[in-house]
Parts: sequence; C-alpha cells; structure tokens
Amino acid sequence: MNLLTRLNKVTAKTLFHTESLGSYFEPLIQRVKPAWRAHWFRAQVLSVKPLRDDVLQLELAPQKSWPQAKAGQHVLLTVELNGRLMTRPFSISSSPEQHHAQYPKTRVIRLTIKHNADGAFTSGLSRHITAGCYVNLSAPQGDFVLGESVVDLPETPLWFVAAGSGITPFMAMLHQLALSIKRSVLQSSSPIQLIYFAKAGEHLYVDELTALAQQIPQLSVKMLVRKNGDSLAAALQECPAASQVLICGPGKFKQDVDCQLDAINHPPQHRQAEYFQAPVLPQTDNGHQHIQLTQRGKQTQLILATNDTLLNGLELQGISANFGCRIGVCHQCQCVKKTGVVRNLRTGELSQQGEQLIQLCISQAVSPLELEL
Amino acid sequence: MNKNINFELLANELDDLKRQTLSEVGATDAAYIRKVIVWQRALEWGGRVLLMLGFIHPLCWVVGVLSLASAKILDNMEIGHNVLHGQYDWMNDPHINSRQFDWDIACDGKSWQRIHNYEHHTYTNVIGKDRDFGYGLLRLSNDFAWRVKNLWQFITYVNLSMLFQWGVSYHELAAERVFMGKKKQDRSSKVDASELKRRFFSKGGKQLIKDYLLFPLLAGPLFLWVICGNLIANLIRNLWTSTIIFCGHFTTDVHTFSQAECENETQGQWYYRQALGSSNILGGKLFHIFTGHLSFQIEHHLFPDLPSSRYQQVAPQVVAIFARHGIAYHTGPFLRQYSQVVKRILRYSLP
Ligand code: FES
Repeated sequence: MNLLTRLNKVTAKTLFHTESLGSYFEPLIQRVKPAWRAHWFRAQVLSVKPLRDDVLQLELAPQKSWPQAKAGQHVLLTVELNGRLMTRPFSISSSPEQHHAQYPKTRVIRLTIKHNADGAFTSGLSRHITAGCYVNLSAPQGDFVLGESVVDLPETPLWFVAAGSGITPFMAMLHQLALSIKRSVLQSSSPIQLIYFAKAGEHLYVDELTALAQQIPQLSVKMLVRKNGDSLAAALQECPAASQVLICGPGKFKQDVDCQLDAINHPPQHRQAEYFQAPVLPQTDNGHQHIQLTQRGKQTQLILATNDTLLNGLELQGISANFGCRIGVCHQCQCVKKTGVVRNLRTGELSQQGEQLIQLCISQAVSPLELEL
Repeated sequence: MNKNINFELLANELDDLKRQTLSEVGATDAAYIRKVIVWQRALEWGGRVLLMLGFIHPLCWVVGVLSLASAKILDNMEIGHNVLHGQYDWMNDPHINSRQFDWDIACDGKSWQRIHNYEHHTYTNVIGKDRDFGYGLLRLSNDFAWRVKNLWQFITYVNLSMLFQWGVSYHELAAERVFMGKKKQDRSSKVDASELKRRFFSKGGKQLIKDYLLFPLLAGPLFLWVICGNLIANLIRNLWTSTIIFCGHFTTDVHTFSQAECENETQGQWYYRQALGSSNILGGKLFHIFTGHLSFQIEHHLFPDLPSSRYQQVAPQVVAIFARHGIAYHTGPFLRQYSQVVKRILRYSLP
C-alpha cells in the first residue's frame, strides 16, 4: 500500500469511521458526478438485448481507468436492483480491443448473461437496467486466458471445448485471434478447433461464429447437440496430445471432458478449465446440509441438520458464533453468507444465491452454504 | 401481564404486518437513506465552513453551529441508530450496513449494538436486565429502592443529557464496573474488560481530537470560534437525542416488568411488552426525521429492523391492531410527553 492510500485510510478511519475518504464523500460527489462510486469501476450501459428467452446481452462502456481485460477473463458485475446491490461474476464475451460500429470512440465490453436457477438477478436486470444507466464493475479477474502459448508456441494446436453459455470466454478469445491475424501478429497456421455443445437450437452467436471462421482460416467450428447423438468421445477423439485444450461449461461437463481426454492420453498440464457453477458441495439426504465455514481465514467443512437454526447447528458442532437475543431482534449474530440459499424463519422468505448478510439465529440452510463468521 | 389478551392472534397480526411491509421495501427506501446521508454530509460541511466564516458576520457562525448540530443529529438518529440496527442491511451496500458502520459519537458502534440492540431491545424495561432503564443513574420507578442521591437526580439527569454521548459510551463499561473491578455476579460479558477500556478510549479519543483539536487547528486564527462552535453543536445534539429517547421510554404510562414475568415469553407477549414499554411523540415529517423516527418508538420497538422510512406507514395499522386487542397506544405532542418525563424524574426523586 502506498503512502497516499495509507493516509487516506487512516484519516477516513479516524475522522469519519469509514473505509476511505472516497466512501465518506461518495454521496456528495455523486450529486455532481452521478456515475461516481468509491471502490468500484463504473460502466455505462449501452444496450440491453435479449439474445434468447433466457439469455441477455449487455454492452457496457467502462470508465477510462478500468484496467483492460485479457480475452477470457471475467468481471464481477454489481447492479442495484430494487434498492439492493447484487453481484455476480460474468465472462466477457468481447475481445479487449474490440470496438463496435455504433460506438467507435468508446471501449466496449460485452457480457452474455444466462438465466439460472436463481433468476432474481437476471430477471431484475431486464426489468431495472436500461441503456444509459450505470453499473459497477470489478477489475477484470481470472487466469482463464489465452496462454502465452499462442504467441510463444505458434505450432501448438488450440482446442476450445464449450458447453452452453460456456461459449462466452471463447468468443472473446476468438475475436482476439481474429484481430491478431488481421494485424498479422499471429502467423501460426496450426489448427484451431471449437467444439460447442448446446441443446438443439440453443447455440449462441451462431452468425458471429460463422463470420469468425471466415476471418480465421485455420478455425473450424463444430456445433454439437448431445441429444442428437453427438458424443463428447467422438468430438474429442482427434485431439492431438500436443494441443492446448481450454474447457468452459458446467462443472459436470468439465469432468466429462477430462475423462475423455485422459482416455486418449492427453496430458492434463495442457488443459485449462473454467466452470461457472461454483463447485457446489453435495446435497445430503436425510435433512442435512453441507456448510463451508470461514473463520478468521480458516476454513472448516461441516454438516448441519436443516431443521435447526444455523446458530444452534454451529454451536452443536462446537463453533461459537457471536449472538445476543437469539430471536432475530439484535443482529448480533449477523454473518456473511457467500453462496447458497437460507430460509428466514421469521418471514419464511428464501434468500438469494449470492453474497448477503444473514442472521444466524433465525436462518436455516436450504442448500449447501458458504459462510464467513 | 394482562391475561385477557389473545397473544397468539396479536403475534400473528403484527408478524403479518411486518412481513407485508418488508415485502414492499426496496428502491424507495434505499433512495431515502441515501438522500438523508447526502443531507447529513452537506449540513456537516456547510456547517464546518460557516463556522470559520464567523469573522465576516457572527451570524455565519450561528448558522454554522446549527447546521453542524443538525448534521450530528441526523448522523446519530436517522442514519446511525437505524443503520446500526441492521435496518438497511438488505441493501448490501458496503457503506450502509450494521457490520461496518460507525457513527460520529463517542460510543463505539459495536458496544452500542451489544447494549442497545441486544439488551435493551430484547429485555425492554425488564428491571435488572435492561440497563437503559434509568441508565444506572436515575430512579424512574418503584422497582428500585430510594437512595439519598435520588434527591438531586434532576440535576444528574440534566448532566447526563448534556454529556449524553459520553453516557452512552460509558454505559457498557460502567455496568461491567470495569474501572472499579466490581463486576456484578450475574453479568457475563462477551468482551473482556481491557478490550472494553481500549474501545472506550480509542473511539472517544478520536472524537475529541477531531472536534476539539484538528478542525480548530485547521481554522488557524479562528481556533476558538471553531472549538466553541463544535462544543455547542455537540451539546445541542446531546440534549436533543437524550430528550427524544427519554420521551420514548419514561412517560407516565410506560410499564416496567419483572424478570419472573418475562420467563418463557411467547412472541405475542414480547410484542405486548414492547408496546407498553415505549411511547410515541406526535409531530411533522421533518420532526420525525430528526428523531430518527424514534418518535415512532412503539413501532421501532415492535419492528426494530424495519427500515425507519416505513414507521410512519405502519403506525396507523399498529394503532388499529392495538385497538382491537385493547392495548393502550401511548402518544402525545412533544411538550406533553416531555413534561411527563420531567414529572417522572421528579416524582421518583422522592421515596
Ligand atoms: S442473536 Fe439477536 S438477531 Fe440473532
């Protein structure tokens, strides 16, 4: 931390009990610059477009200071939906240098957002977010990126293996490759293979992929449907052991791909993968639930009875959480739920999937949970 | 406790009201608290600047003091008190939640959460458990034996009001008798004495440095103007908060409860106790905002984590529910409520 940030922090803590001067003055600054927010990058929404019933595409213009993303990285998107800030990670599906015809001067990023079981976020997006409004972005993160290998080892064949909305990071990478070819940075002619599984009629960006295949001569695209008899085994059969394989899709899909690749002796160190469902802890039957607990940086795995409150459950396991009234009044037992769904016993309401403050004494686990005490 | 009340029905009706209201909470409530924060910041900085312009015209200074005092009141009441209750936690906003928030008064927010959110709101007016009842200094009911020091307790009360933020801050410490080492047998604390002491001095110290050293020093030659201004602004805030809080709890009809009465309490009985332990103050919209909606003390005690911006809305329904169950709903204009408080303090200063 440099001196200035330190000074900012200490002053803000001592004088205003806030994290930084920025967060203290934020409400005032926003009067003048409505887009401004402390500790977040801001991006203006250029368009919100449904690609399909359950897939939404956002085009965003991030503020200048937002660090350029590498193709394949994701961002945490935070939006205010009905007064509540909600955050979800999304892969960027446009290349870092991509410009859009409509907005030639602005750097634009594109996010492809699929409805999932927890529809609150996506349905909220389509209802509350319109062109012109502002959303919050994290810095780009993740190392699921086109390795230096593409540049250093032009002889390595590339295999992209996607399922469903797992296509998003590959769209960014392919656009990136197309640009490099146009600028003659990439001369390699080693083959690039895209294997893309989806349900019949649900492949995304079909036209764009066709266009890309024309711009990248060595690219061949296979759009497959498992129900129609296309199998992973057949699709991966030809994959050379020397190729770099990038996999993106649900966790289960990643496992299947790994299995197939192992079977044809493709070395695991030549694989990169990203699965968008956070590794979900298994659901146990007979009324128990897995909990992953972080306490002062230390992680513990627990199994708690679901008909008990979290506070009681934790105490039975010998974990002492802070508490006061035990009837939901005082908020002493507040803790951060990172992922998972809890039921509020006072209101009967189910929580959202994502990060949220919950009261242990009146919450029950409905799904596996990640908690931070 | 009144045995003729159908506590189960009462609990259901109030629970329903809470659930119904919570389901409406959303963007307007978030916008509301954000707006209050903007006003707080604007009044604070407008005030601090005006204090330094006192040399142009003394009126600037006077307006500055009032502006700073209003900012401190907003920070303490409508923002601090309510945010620390967790009323705005649902917003998921890193700056507006009960875990991180701290306010511009001498009392450490965490300590206040333990004493106020937990003890006071759980054991409202239960003698021996709710330390807010008389703050350990005043005799406000026959539940306590009379002592000679109660003779001049009106003066104690005035002092407490003037130094209210320090009273609040000392509250947790004092009850633990940290400094004297006279720990009460039945009091267990989650925080050990040395930690309590450290918190007390560090938060209090920061507040002192800010108002009585740093900002005056920044004013250079106007050091004294600023120091006096800050002192008066703090004094106004202290008197205001103390008065509002006393009016919410120590009017004539407010009940106290014994520990035995509250054993194995049901949800309905708990609601009933909250209802009889508090009283409201009538007033206009701005008045309610400056009291942090503690002018709706009854609603606040029934639903301590409902966003304050909703208390005005639920009040008529609470009145209706109370009327159906024959529960008294204590409210009145400010002066009437306040005179009742004064009478109570004076009445119990005699045996
Ligand atoms: S212990 Fe008081 S709200 Fe949970």
